[in-house]
Amino acid sequence: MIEYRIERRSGVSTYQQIVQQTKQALRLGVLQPGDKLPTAREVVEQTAINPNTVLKAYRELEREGLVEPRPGLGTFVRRSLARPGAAADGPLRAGLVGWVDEARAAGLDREDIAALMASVLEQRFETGVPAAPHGSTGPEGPAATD
Amino acid sequence: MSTSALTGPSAEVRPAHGPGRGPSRGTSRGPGGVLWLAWRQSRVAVRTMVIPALLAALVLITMHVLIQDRVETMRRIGCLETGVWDLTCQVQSGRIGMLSWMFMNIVQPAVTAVPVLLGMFLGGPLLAQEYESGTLRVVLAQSVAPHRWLAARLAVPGAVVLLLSAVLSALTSWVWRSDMVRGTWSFDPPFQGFTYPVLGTVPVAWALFGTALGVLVGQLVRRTVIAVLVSGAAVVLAHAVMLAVRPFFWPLVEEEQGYNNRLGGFAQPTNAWLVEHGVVLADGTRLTNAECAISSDVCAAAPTSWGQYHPVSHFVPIQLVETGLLLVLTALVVTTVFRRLTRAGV
Amino acid sequence: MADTTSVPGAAIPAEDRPAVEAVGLGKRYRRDLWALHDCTFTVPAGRICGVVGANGAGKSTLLTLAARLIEPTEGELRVFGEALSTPESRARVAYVTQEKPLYPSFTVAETLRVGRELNPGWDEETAQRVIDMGELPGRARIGALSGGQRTRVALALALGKRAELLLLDEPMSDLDPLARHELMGVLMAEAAERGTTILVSSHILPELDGVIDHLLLVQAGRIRLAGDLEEILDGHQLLTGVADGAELPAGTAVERRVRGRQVTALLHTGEPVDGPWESTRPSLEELLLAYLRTPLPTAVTAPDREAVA
Repeated sequence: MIEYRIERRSGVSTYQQIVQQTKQALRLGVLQPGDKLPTAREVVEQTAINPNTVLKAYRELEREGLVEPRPGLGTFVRRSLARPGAAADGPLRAGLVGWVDEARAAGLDREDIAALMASVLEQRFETGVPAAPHGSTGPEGPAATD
Repeated sequence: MSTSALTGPSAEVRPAHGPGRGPSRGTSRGPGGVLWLAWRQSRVAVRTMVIPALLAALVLITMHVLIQDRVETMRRIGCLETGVWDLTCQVQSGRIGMLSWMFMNIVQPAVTAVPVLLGMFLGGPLLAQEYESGTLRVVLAQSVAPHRWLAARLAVPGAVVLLLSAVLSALTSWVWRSDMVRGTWSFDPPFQGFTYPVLGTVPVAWALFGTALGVLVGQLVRRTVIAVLVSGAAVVLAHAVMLAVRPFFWPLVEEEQGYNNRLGGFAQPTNAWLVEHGVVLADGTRLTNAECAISSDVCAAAPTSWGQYHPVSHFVPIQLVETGLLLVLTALVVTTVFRRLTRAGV
Repeated sequence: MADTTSVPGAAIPAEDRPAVEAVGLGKRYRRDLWALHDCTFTVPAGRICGVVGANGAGKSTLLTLAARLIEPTEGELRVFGEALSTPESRARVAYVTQEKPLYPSFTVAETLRVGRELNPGWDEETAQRVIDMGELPGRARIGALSGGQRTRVALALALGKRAELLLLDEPMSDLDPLARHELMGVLMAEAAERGTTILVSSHILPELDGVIDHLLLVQAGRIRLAGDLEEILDGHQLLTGVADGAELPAGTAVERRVRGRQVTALLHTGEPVDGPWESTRPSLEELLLAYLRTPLPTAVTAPDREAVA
């Protein structure tokens, strides 16, 4: 089960936050196919946001094929976004942890590391460097998101 | 129109609503609900009325028993026959006199004041408090029709007022008659200022009217303290008006008598209510007593005196007319209160 | 926008009837004091609508009219398509006024009993849950409770009624932040479960963010903005630029502020503006503050008035 954290003044609309957090959970494997998403009522009771936004977010996720409604039962995860390498206990993460430790040892603080990462991400994703072929999950990438 | 339709294939549909949705929307709940609320709201007022009423009843019953006992004693001794009056008679008579003094100077004014007090402290605050504190909105925000709530809210204290005033009136009449039947020297005659309002059906009608008038005043004024004061003034004013028109509730009896200068004035029958009197001059002109006071020598020479009065036999008809009039006025006042509840808003 | 106001209520299917519909609504208290004048708006069912405005703007009057506690002086008001108050329609609307009146000598349990006895559709469980969340003993007298606790009881009374339309006049003003969050959560949960329409007036703007999806901005007794929130925000933009830069399009500026060399303006248009301007979509708070800072123009012509949905 996922618990949403809504940041009201972040500039990102609440419905976007729910979509993003759900996708994040799917990526990290916190939500797996077959898991039940909390009902709109459960979400808003906890976060005190408008229930229409929750439904809107769920519909968006449904449109992207990530969740499916089962009438009378709730909304369930349909497929995962988790990549084998991105799991919370996977080797990619371990490698990243090591690199961050190296960077800190070299004297970079948090902002420096974040800026470095952002710059590299931008460079690598913008310049159309083809992604390495990946596994079972469906098409997902910057172009496919709304 | 922006799409607010939220239905879709998703199972998480916010339910569409319509009149039939949810639990039964039948609004005809039994009277129990509003009656409970009316009772709960009147609880303090009812208790405040019942306790003094019980005390008063106790006092009156005791008075009647004591008077009765003494009158019986006097009858046994033979005091009630003329010519037999000794010390024992004097003592018994004195004891009755004390009780009748209490009745005339304490009980009668108190009972006469009851409608004023009811108007001030029961009727006045009843709606004024609701308007002033805004709690009227609590009730109007519920599903019950405002009229039903108001009906219960008035009926519960109204029924208590009716019951208690009826008991009180029966007891005062009972005490008053305990002496009237056997002797005529201790209590005031029935038409007397403070006696009339405590006998028969009149106290009940006044109690109801005073309360209703207070409720209307409270609804108009919408401030509790002001309502209390204005209600009191209104009931007193109503009393004064009624006093002025009471003589005309039943046809007056007119009579002329030979004018005896030494006795002075018109001699009405026992216990009659002399409404107006004066003299008739030789040329037939009638002068009232008030006019005589100005020109007394003219009146002194008049051969006849005249008077308008109600004999004792008119007592019950006049009481009934007054009772009927007060009940009609009470109904009018209550109807006005109901009308204003929905029309004037909150 | 479909002109629902000219269609008799019966022609629209029940599910699509807007919760509140007003045409030219106005209320006058004294000869020359119009609390509300010429107000036209529609609140679709199932929405959470914020009624925003300065103190004295007319928010409370609007809610009191919708609750049918007072009659309008002019114009037409329909609640769920009905023009008049009937016993059935009374059961569908719950109103909590700003003063949150309750009977001071009643206990908490007795106050809930009032709701139970006077409402056929009473939901004791929901009402009791709200009370229990605040750990209020049933025997406590209302007169002895704090402002926040009384608000909680008033909300419990309103929620237990299971109304389809909840009118709340500054409900959270007495509450501490935790209670506010909790009770807002309860309200949202109600809305989620039953599709309740909620009209909530507030002048605490940050609280409305993320909660409302429909907006009514009341200024000086008139409706200045009315409609779906996202559409309204899409129809505005916040421009920042240099003071001696290009001119702004005529008639669209809601507010224009100059500080040093920087100009900030809120425009009432979604169209891109030529010139060296940086344009962003305003947040709810930025939008409302800009409007509240600028008094209503004396002549409110049709293009100036947003009447969306």
